[in-house]
Amino acid sequence: MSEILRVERLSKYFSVSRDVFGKSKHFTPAVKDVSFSICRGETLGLVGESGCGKSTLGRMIAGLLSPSGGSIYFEGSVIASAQHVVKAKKPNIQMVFQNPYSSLDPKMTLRGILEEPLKISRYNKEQCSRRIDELLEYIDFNRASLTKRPREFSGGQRQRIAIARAIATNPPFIIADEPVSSLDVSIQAQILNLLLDLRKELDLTYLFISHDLGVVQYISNRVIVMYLGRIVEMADCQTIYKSPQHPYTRLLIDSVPIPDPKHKQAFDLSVTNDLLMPGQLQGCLFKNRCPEKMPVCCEQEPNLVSCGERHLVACHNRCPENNACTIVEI
Amino acid sequence: MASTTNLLEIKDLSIKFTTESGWLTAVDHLNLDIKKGEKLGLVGESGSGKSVTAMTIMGLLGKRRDIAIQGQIMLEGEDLLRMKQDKIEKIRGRKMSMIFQDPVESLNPVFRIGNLVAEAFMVQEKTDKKIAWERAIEQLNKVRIRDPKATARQFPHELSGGMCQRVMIALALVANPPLLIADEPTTDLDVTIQAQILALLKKLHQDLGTSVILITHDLGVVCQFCDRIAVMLNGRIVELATADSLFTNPSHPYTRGLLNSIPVLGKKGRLEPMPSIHNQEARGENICRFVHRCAISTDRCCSAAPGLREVLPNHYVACFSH
Repeated sequence: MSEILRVERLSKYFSVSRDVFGKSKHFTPAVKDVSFSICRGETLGLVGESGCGKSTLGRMIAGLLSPSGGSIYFEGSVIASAQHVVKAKKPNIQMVFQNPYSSLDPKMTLRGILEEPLKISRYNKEQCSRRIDELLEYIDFNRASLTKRPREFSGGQRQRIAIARAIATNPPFIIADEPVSSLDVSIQAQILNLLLDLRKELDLTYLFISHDLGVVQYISNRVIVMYLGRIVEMADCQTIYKSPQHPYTRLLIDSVPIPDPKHKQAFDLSVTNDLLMPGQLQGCLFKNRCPEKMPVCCEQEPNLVSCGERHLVACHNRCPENNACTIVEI
Repeated sequence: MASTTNLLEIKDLSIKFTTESGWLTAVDHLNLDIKKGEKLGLVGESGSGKSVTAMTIMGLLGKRRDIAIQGQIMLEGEDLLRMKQDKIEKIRGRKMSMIFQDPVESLNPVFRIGNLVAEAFMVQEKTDKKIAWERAIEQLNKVRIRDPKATARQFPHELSGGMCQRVMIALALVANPPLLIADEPTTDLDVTIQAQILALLKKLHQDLGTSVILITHDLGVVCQFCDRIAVMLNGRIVELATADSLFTNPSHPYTRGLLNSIPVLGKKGRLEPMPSIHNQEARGENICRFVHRCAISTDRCCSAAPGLREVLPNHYVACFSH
């Protein structure tokens, strides 16, 4: 499989305070030193809790935010970089957002919404209407709804429209940022199946961002788990659910309530300190919630190392010093 | 753990709202009992009437001309629907309380956490400010807030969502009410925090013997938390059973549809979503609420509404196919 997107040591810092002249004084790292690549036709799931930087990462790849460090390569050419000005043509990467109520213009009709990306891509009138017909078929709408406005559609229908708009110009790569988290479960299943069918039919590659591990498992081939801006584990979907290596991944998987009465879960009552004080930023960021903390965790940040076939983990416990483990360079 | 006496009995409850196109039935002839010390789950998709039922029990809808409420809600032998407003206000907090979905928005942002909880003690127990503050710190300790003394001096915006939900639970349990209604208490929270809050609610339920009504759309949460589960669809209960029975033998096509629509960790296979209806769904009197989405519906489903019938011990289903 050929590589479609590569991210190298990507970072994004947001300023948290400014001095009197408006110059940033303090920064917080939303994404730090993240590297990975996606192959054509693959779906890469990005999981993590709120504030872990998964949306920031998606927005940087989509070109909605500029990186503070590192670079992004799409189909071999650099599309965003902190080091130098990028002159390449904007790549065709489209995005589906979480909230279908606010991501569609309330004043536009369905025709207008679907036509806009086509017009920008210089489709002529005839091509436009032919393409709109195709799009309506993909999302199972009839032509009569073309004159309706977003408020006349339900949440699930709006999300279908958002997906149709994203695939309108035949992009090879789509970023879906929590596309089903504001929908009811039965609608959620419809949207997930639509995304799977489209992937097969149009040979799409997805970056699928979600906090729901069940959803990510259903749709992804490979999963990245992020914690506070860092990748803590990356592996094939099967591997990560069967043998999670990082204590945070294990915590996440154990916390999902399973609808099976034979599988009674005893949730831990202990309160964890989920916030890090500014002074605690050296070492592993998971140290204050980690059940397997070692002295080295407070001093040194763990590197992402290989612990199996296509399986990377950033944990000192998985990489004893005497063991010859390989630091992976992507 | 649940005893056999009923704490709350909802009898034939109907709630209607006026809309531009006439009355809309949000809750339709609902019958439900909650036993003392029981954890009951109310599941359903948005618009199924689960939150409206909770608001009516708490008396939060008020007496308004555009809302018609019929039926009876008996709490320890007293009908809440026929009670005067000032009496309901006295019962609220002492006999029943509620926690909401968005903990940060539910707390008054201009008061310190300690003041919020202390105020509840001053109202409920008529204690003076100093004692109330100490009781408040004790109460915060009970919901496992780290360093309750320091937290009491903070404002809601300084706490995380999980911490705010703990404060909400502390507030709700100030007077040890026998009934606690939790309306989507963990929906806005991350999974690891959700697990902590569910563990806390379970522990408090064990210690205090409070009956809990947990409203949620997450089948995993009710399965792990509740003793008995009621599945709601468009204002009616379509299936009512113990958690074990419901998940081992889901009998209503809607319940089965819900279970087939969720991606479960560790299970593979394509999801089978239920068909959704584009127009206003069936809300008429004499029609099954699931008829337009049901794969096994017959003519009878369009002419009569199925009532709840016992198909297995303590397992009730409203479907003609059983």
